[in-house]
Amino acid sequence: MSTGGDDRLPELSEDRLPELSDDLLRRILYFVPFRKAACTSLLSRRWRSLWRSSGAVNLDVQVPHSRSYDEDADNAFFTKQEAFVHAAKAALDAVEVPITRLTLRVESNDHDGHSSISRFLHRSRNWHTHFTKTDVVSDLVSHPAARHVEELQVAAVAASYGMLRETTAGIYGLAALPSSDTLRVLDLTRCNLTLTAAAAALALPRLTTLRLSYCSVEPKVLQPMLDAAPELTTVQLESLSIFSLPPEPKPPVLRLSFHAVTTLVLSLCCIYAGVQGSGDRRGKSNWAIEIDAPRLQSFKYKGLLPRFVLRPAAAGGGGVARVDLHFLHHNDVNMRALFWQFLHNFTNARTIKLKVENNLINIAAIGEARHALLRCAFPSMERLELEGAFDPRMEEYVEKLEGAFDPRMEECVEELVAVHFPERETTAIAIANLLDCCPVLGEFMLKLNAVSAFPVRDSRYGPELLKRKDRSDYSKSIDRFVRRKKAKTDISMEDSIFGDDEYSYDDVRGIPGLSDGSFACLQRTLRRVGLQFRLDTNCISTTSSLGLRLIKFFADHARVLEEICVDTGNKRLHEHLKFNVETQALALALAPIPISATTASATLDSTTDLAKTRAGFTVLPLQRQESMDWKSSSLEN
Amino acid sequence: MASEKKVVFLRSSDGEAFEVSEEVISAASVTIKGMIDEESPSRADTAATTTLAIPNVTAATLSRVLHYVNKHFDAAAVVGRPDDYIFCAPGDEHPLARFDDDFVDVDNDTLIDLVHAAEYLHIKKLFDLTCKAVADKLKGRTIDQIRETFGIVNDYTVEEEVEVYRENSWAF
Repeated sequence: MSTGGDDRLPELSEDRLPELSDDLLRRILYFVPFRKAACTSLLSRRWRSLWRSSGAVNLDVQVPHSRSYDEDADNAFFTKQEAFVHAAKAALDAVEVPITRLTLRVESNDHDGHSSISRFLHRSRNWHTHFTKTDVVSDLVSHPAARHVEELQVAAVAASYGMLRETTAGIYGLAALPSSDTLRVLDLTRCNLTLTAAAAALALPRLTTLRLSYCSVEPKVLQPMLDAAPELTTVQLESLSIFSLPPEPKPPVLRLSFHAVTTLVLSLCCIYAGVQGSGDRRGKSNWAIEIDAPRLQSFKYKGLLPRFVLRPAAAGGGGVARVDLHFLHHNDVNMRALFWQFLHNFTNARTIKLKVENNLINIAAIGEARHALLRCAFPSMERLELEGAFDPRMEEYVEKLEGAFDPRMEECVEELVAVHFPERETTAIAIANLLDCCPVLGEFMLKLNAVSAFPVRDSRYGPELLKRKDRSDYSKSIDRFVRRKKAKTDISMEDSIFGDDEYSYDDVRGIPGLSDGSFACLQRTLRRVGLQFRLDTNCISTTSSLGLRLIKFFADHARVLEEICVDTGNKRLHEHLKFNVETQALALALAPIPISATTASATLDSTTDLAKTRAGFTVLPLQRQESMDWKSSSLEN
Repeated sequence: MASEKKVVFLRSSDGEAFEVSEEVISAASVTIKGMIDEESPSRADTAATTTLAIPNVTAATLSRVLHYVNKHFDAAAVVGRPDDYIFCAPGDEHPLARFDDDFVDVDNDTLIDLVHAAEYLHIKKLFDLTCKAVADKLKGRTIDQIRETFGIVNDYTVEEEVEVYRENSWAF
């Protein structure tokens, strides 16, 4: 593409950057930190003033180590601070077009990053003698060059926050917002918004996106800000410390209203009833959230399970279509009720992604709870993704109640019986509850993470590590998702490949709690099922068996099923002994699925490169054979 | 229903045709959406699939771009719903972050080709992603290294160079 500004192309160059137009180079410089951007003026004549018209200034600084008792270090600290402020002002002075984007990132590697950053931003050299204060953030943000800023991002980031940790989130204040009439995106990290009383009075007519992370806020500051922005559609509130809730009622209630907001993220926010207080930063469980968001379409929540009310109630046609809920692990006797109450706000959802760190049996509704749950149907839910923990040994135990007693379980039996035996809740019941609520479900993704309720092994396996591992495994393996489509003609081939079976199809038993239910979605709408199992090596066999039984269940009962994706999560699983068993049984389980595909069936080869797998694959519309045909044949088998 | 998905073919500058879902590419590329909208009155609903010429993009680049587009804009994909980008809390690792990192972890030529393609096809997310990736390549390099990496010839006289240096002295 030939664009203007290429007339000064250096000759002889075979490289590619020079062939970009000035506009493109400006766009690249738009993302470059301010010092480096200014340095590019030395590259060649063409670059001399490009950076001045990129439209952005990205200020960044690494806060030096601060030791107030050491005079030399102190000197160096303030020298660096002054140099940064000088350079930042020079950069802002030098821009030739009004900037639309201003970012300021203050980082510290100190062991007490909070106070280092605070010192860097608020004190000046004469602090000890004259108590001279300064306000670096406000000085820079209110620079005349930033008058027409559309995107403002200010972040203080520390590797460690010292003793204070995260309990007092905000480090800097923001005396006033620049360009309140042009601002579209406001993104603040570690801002103390309780000091921003002035901003609350402003109008923010063009603000569309507000992101606050690790900020201290008070509802009486936040709410006017939300009210001042009629165009505000996206709000992300992450890891906020919310102070000064009204003393009544008790337990405290966080009430916020979002008039035009369509996307709301509420993640790991912590509420303090008083001005100061101590608390679990994930948020206490004994508080409530009341959200008034008439136009909300997408909602994401991460945290403990509070009492949650969304207004207006999702009656009628509207309501939230996309919901993503992640409930952290916690012990609360009311968990089951709170969970279903929470979900009850989203009865018009079309997709729900649900992650429960607790064992899924904690949300299984039985008895009284089940009646309440039946009122909580999701008539338009098309896609459900459920991720939760389950304890394979417990599942195994419950399963074996009628049969032989497993000697390995002996030690734990008493505890188990006391807690779980009477109600015989299992993961399957939780799954059944949800399937029961979703009459038009088309796609169901289930991720089960095997955890042990017995703290004998893997105690070093901290939740952090697990979480990270989960994430990386998940993204790795998701591409390796195996789509099994078996033509009827393939069956004989499968048989010869796998030879002797350890399991035959009928050996895979049904699942109490699931098999005895009849679910509308299974009859008419459920077309895709994804099953993902995160295996703990200790319980691989039992996991496989639950896995197999779920596969069998969907294969048997989902009448319009087109596709089952099975992911065993672990990259190395193909090395695993049991994998073959699973493969065989999988093939067997899927054999009676009434799918006739004209494509060649994919192989269940977990070593296949993801790109290749993807490229070779097109999901074709599948035709269903006469249902009676296979039904009867599978019965005969 | 899923079975009636429309597809279009995109023909690269070197003549290779790529199939892509019309819905997906329209959501991704403003340019191609415009082409399809222009095309649509002239083709009857029953007509055969459309082939659009993309004269500025080679097959190698186009296949990469389509890989990206299918990952980010295909609502039927297993992960990565189209609005996941804004839907992802800042602290969370976006499910496609890893994909994006790998996607732009390519040599300079390929990256610049992608910048051009994203600009021409008007795929905002890809354009920002690739521009940021080039910016990242600038960040970690000295001026001499940037010149070397990207083949920029220093055409300053010594006097000019001193002057430029002086006017930006705060940055060095």
